Amino acid sequence: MLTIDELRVSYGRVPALHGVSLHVGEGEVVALVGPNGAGKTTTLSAVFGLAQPAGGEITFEGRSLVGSTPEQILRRGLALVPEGRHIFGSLTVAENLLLGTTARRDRSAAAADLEQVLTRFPVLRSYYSSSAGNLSGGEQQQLAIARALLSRPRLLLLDEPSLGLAPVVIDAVFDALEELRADGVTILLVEQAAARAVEFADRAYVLRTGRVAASGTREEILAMENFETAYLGV
Amino acid sequence: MALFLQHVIDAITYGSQFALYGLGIALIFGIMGLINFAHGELIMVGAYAIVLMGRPSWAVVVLVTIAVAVAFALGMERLAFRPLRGASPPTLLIASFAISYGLQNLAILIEGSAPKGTHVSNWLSESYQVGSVSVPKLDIVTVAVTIALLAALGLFLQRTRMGVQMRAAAEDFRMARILGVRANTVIATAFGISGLLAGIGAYLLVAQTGEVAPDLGSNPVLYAFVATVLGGMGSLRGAVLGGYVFGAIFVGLQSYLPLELRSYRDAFAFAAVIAMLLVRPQGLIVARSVVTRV
Amino acid sequence: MALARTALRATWPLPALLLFVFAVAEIAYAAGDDVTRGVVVVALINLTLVIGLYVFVGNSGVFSFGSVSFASIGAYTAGLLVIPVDQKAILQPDLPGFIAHTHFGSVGATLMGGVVAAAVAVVFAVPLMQLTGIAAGLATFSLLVIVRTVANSWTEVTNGAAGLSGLPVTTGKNDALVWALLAIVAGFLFQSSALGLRLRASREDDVAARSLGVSVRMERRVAWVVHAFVMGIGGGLYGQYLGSFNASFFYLALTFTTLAMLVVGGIKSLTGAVVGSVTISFVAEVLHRIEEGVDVGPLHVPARPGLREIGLAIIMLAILILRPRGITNGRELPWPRLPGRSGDRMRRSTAEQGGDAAETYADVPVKDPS
Repeated sequence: MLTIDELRVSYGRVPALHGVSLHVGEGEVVALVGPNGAGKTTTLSAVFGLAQPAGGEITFEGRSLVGSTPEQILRRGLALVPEGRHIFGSLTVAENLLLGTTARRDRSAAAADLEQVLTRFPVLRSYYSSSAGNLSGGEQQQLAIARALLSRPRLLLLDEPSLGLAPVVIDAVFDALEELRADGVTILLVEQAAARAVEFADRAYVLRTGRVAASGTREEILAMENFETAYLGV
Repeated sequence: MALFLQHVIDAITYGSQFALYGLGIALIFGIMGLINFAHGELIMVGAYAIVLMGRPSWAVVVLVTIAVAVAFALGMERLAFRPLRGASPPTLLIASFAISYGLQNLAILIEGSAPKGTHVSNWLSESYQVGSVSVPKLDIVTVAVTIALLAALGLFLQRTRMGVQMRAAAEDFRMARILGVRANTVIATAFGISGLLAGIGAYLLVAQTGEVAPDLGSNPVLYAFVATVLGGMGSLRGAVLGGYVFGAIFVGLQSYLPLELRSYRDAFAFAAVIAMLLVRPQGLIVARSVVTRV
Repeated sequence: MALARTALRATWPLPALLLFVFAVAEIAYAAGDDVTRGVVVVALINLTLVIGLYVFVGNSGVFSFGSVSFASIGAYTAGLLVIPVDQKAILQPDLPGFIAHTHFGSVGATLMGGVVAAAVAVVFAVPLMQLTGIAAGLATFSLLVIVRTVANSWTEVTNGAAGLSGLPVTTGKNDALVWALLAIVAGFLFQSSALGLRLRASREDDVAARSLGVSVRMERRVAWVVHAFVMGIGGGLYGQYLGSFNASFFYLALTFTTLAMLVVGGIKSLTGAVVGSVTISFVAEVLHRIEEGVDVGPLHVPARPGLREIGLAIIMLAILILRPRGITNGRELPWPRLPGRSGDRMRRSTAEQGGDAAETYADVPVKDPS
């Protein structure tokens, strides 16, 4: 579904990605892990049109994404939940969710999706008319995911959904992701909590200083000797 | 007592005008971080449209004035500010200064620099007598129109999809784009609304002063700055509050400064701006979005 | 030997710029008609103002929209000192005693213009220099309005909106040229000084610098005061060129002109200030001639006032959009390079250092190429 081929990205004169290649098949859950500064967020940014590649190719369902704006890429069927949640604190939960349907033309189907999302994340229903700034960290993460889902993405990109959350809350988030997997949503998951992400995924790539250091199925990566220390310096 | 009431009426009237000017600035600043120095020229072109139109009915005059201001607003966005998207705020400010300078001289080129007189409306020039207080009809219309516009703008921002998109863009533009909000549409809408505000402001200003000149927009834009800095840049509520607070200060200085200091009124106003920027740069109202723009 | 070469490259822009300005001014003055001669003098005065502006904006990275107010202060100060005492007694009887009875020569008056402007800058230095970005822009703009309002209203001293008149017109080409060259020297010395270098180092990323504990407030204040001094000098020169002026002369139009000159040339280098000033002066004059009505072969383009300003505005916008770093692209005048020699090695090594370090110190390599 999504193919990244020899992607190179630089911030000014500082190169961040030195030729990253990865692939996400339809219906798969793929984890992208690695230490801080490895280039995981940069990879997602490049896919979503937030960073311009210096070289390489990004293809989604056969067509290139390079050069498209985020608004266009969203309408191609991708959605991004960026690092740090970024919910609109000055808007209500309802308005935040409404923004998730920005690109939707089908009002009644969108309304049905909204209902479904509120059922899946009941806390959002309770806080529906409140300011989104009143939600806790974990609740905001649920809002961010729910909001992204409302565009009915075929590929969901998540950047560090567990960041700053208590373990119990992380469990809840991964439970929600499990339900998404069951519904057939394709997921590319970037995480620093590597073990958790790899266990959850079907396949994983390990990124280190802008390059793919290892890749394989869940079992292969987990079985790697010194997986955590060698590749993640933990 | 009557004199005091007169001052109050003046303060509210001026405050309404300043609120209108300030809103035009605050709207665009909130979304783009751009202080549009050329907003004054939007008022100016609207004013010239009135003068050049002849004598159709007032409704036509208002509509055409607004249309002209909106057209210029959209034009400056498309031609000058879109290519500069992402530039630093001071660069944008300089660019808007250049546009302002260019448009003023365009007016000089086409119309000459001498002021042109015009008479907008007989009805508006009259006043109601309430006891010993004289209330110009124009003042009532100004305040009423401003309140109506504020209400309409509020409804638009709160109740429409585009309004929600604009508020989201003002808080976190990047995230809004990630959700599919089209940057070009939101920004063009903001400029369009600021053109609308400028056009209405132009009509009220010309009705009040009866004349137009190429530098007509210079004072309004200065007063708009004062209003928005006082009230809080990027906050629409702040611009309105700042406008009325400044209206009170303006009339207060005008009426109560000792005679020899009265011509220094503008100096006091801008000293207040500096003080505000130093002491409370976020203005009197803290904008609900966390980002400090200044 | 390498050290000498390094030092030579670092100081090379100064004599080059001085020579450039001298040559252009002399040639234009000698070759042109009466009108051109006036244009040359004005261009040199504007150059002085732009250097002043650059000393602050270029070194600190903070924008000032109010610098022309210091020119205004300089003009009024110099004017009041240079107008003959008996004339002052008639035209401005309410002048405070010490001003009414003092008379300075042209040079002294101009210098005093700079001094008084600098003094006013000192007053505003502490409060204003805390601000950066848009806040600084708005605050300095407020200063411009305040000074103009005071100049228009303080009738006893400034003669109110009518302004000062009767100044002896003493600013000729030679005076303007000498002051402009001195301004260039001063600007160069300032930016090369330890204080200037510290300020420029913080320019690129004020937030990062502050987070490291580096506060350049004092350096910024000094730059502010020095820039006010130079602006004051320029104002004094203007007053003694025009013979009469009022506060409106030192307001938005002059602010725009000086800012345009700096932006078009390139904010970050002294070369930029000079190049931008010369370029805009030239272009403005060409546009002005067109404005006055020009014969292009059989065509007569009729007179159109305002055209010049519109042209300048368009140029300014075009530069901001297409080449935001200005004509010089933020660089100082480069040492002329012979291809295939150590010049190439220098270019490569400075490129490796990345970013603005190379552009700020274009001729001061960190790695010695030999």
